[in-house]
Amino acid sequence: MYERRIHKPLSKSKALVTVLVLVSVGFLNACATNKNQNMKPIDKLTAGIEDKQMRQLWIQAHEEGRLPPIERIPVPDKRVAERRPAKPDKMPPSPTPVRPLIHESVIAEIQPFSPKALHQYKGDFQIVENKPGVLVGRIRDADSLLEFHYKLPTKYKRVPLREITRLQLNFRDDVRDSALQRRIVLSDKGDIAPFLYIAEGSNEPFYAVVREVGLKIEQGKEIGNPPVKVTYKGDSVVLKQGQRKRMGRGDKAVEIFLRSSVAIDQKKEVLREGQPFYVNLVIYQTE
Amino acid sequence: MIFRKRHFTLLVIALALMACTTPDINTLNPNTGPVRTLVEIDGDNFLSTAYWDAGTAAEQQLTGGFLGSYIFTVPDPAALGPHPVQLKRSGGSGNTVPFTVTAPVPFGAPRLDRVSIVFADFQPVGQVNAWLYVQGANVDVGAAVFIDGSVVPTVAHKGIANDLLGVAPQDLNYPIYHYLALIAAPGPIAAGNTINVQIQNTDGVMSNTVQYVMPADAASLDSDGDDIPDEWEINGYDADGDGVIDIDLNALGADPHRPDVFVEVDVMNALANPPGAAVWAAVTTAFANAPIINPTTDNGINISLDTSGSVPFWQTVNLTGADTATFANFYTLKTANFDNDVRGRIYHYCIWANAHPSGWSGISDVDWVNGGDDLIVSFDDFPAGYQTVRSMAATFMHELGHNLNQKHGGVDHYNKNPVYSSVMSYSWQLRTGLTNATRVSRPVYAPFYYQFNSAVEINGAIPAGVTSVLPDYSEGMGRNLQEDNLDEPPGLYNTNAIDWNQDGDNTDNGVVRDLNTDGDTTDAITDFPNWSNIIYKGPRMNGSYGG
Repeated sequence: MYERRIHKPLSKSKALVTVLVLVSVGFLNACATNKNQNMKPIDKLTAGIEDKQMRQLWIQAHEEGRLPPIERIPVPDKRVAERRPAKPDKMPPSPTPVRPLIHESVIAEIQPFSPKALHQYKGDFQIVENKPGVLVGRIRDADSLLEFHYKLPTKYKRVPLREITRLQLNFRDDVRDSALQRRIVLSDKGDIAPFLYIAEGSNEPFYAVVREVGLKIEQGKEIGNPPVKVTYKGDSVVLKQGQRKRMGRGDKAVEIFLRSSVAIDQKKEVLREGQPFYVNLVIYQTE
Repeated sequence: MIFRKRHFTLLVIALALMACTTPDINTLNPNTGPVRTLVEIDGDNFLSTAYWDAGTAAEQQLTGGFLGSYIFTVPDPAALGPHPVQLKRSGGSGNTVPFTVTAPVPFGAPRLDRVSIVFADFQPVGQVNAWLYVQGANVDVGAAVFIDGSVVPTVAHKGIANDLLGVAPQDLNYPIYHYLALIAAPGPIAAGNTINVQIQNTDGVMSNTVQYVMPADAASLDSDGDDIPDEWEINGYDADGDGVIDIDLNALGADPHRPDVFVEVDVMNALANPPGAAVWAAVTTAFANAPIINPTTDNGINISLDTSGSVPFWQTVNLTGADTATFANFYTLKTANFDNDVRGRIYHYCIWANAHPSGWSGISDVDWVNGGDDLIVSFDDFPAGYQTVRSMAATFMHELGHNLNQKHGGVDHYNKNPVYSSVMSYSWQLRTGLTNATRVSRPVYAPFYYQFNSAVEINGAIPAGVTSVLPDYSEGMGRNLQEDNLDEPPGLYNTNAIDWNQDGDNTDNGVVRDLNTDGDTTDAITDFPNWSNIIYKGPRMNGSYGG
């Protein structure tokens, strides 16, 4: 029974398997893919080539032994990719403006800060807070404050300006030719420059007249770090880079610090970003 | 046992049936487009042949790629409307799927961008027998490679479909619809010999000629042309030849068949706006998306950024000048912080600094011959509107682009070239931080800048819905402008008019303007393809200041 019972179905199964395998083999023999898989490598390589001359070139090169091993040609994975397969990252929300950090090693600096971007402004500016290193004011009709974070090259930690003092502000904070162009001029009706910062470049030796305070700045023509002549209230001083000088008398006295004066040799400079001439100076009223 | 045998039987049958299936097409990608469109066949295309107008009196065989018709180029000419496409193999034909031909578009000569090596067999007689990888823009699937004036066996391999982002092709001097790589077999050539390579499209039009120096020997073989030998990319770089690997390049993602760029970026301490991971991700993605086809791996360029280091704070840094209390010479910092003996041959070195003495956002030591290997990014003191992922990634790619020998204007140093869609241009580098008025004065192809279909800056405003922060280098598609004959109404693209003469309207034709401010109005302003002209040898050649 056991034998019968197991043998009989097996016999049927064997027959069925035999038939099916034969059928399958028949299928496989008739099947193009199977034939193709038996093709010579050179025939596989040229399977997609329609042009008879190009196909002949391949066959000839193969027969002359001029082809490297065909199996060293990688089978392409992604046949046609997109130009930008990686989707762009989403643009983060507008960056939250960060208050400037003035490093302890910096000798003199003035950096503006506003919660809202402000490239340019000219008009009334009322001081609302004057604490060491930070001057805070409100520009007329503006809904946010403008802060000037600064460090002066003196023993004084803050400029001598009273709160609620109303001044005139001429402010520009922009980039031209990938170089920073920053001008901060705070002046009062007495033509005093209690607080002034210029970081500007030009294609000629730097020259500027700040009419609000009667100030003229002239950069020398020498290549390297040319001196800068500053004229204020009829007096003139010439500063070298890193120098600080005092001008004026009494309550109109100011100090001028030349942070940098650069003039590159355009014939020798291999790459020029920004402008070839640049002046960066700070002017502040003393106590 | 019985069930197992039955299962086995069914499996055999299933396999047999699968093996015998007709070569059906699942989809054509795309399934519509003008003549010369590069089409990918998704389906059972192994060792098959594709037919156009299949089953009609006009039926014609299409040339496919290596091992079968998985790609083809839409024949030219072809009537507008649907055309049945079918795959065939000896013994079977598959289904037909229509491809709809649309109105023709301008199609220029093929542009040969790059030659590299798939495999090289160095023979004892001082010859090398190589599979060349020859790729370029607007290359037909049936194109042929010419070496020193003679056609050689050629077969198509892989492609990249380009996206014009809604810019009308007529508004481009060289619209690129796709890139295609061809395998070419020039036969044995003297090792180290220089060959002249060209591509001829199916319409007989030849490409530009590229000179290629065949590899001299297996030890110096640099298949992908990134100036790093395959041997180092596979087995590591032994800087001092002591038998110990100093840099495991492969572990850093190097692949001998994908160009690699290595950069060490030391970020200065105490910056208010140090670059974050999103900046590095944007740069990495931008390079990975480069239109460069690689035979065995992902397309694009692998950029490996080591941002783990830092340097002390200095108010300003520059490539030249003596150290002072507030200024550091770049090379003083490099000597102290970069292992030049180990990394100098492989890596570019970047200091992400506070500021530059001239207020510049950065600088590179490019020499305009071999590129450079040193760069500074220096705009931490710029206004808050510039402290964005996009501006940071763009400025880094701008200076690194100089190291890769790319210029502000493409062919020249004109830094606001409107037709040059490249982060090398000042019109691109810090664009999102500029005022609307400044953006108006510096027109660009906005769709390419924002990577946003048909984008327009209305009155200079950043278009709504823009999400990309990815910079890009130019593909060289932009239209030509003639300084003494500028038409305002067509603008650069899609009739977005431009007030070239800045007289308050944008209706003038034949306007004359010295766009590049060189003192004359006779220049032709043209685009330039950065990606296909990258020079990788900066770290070996050390730029204009050495070090």
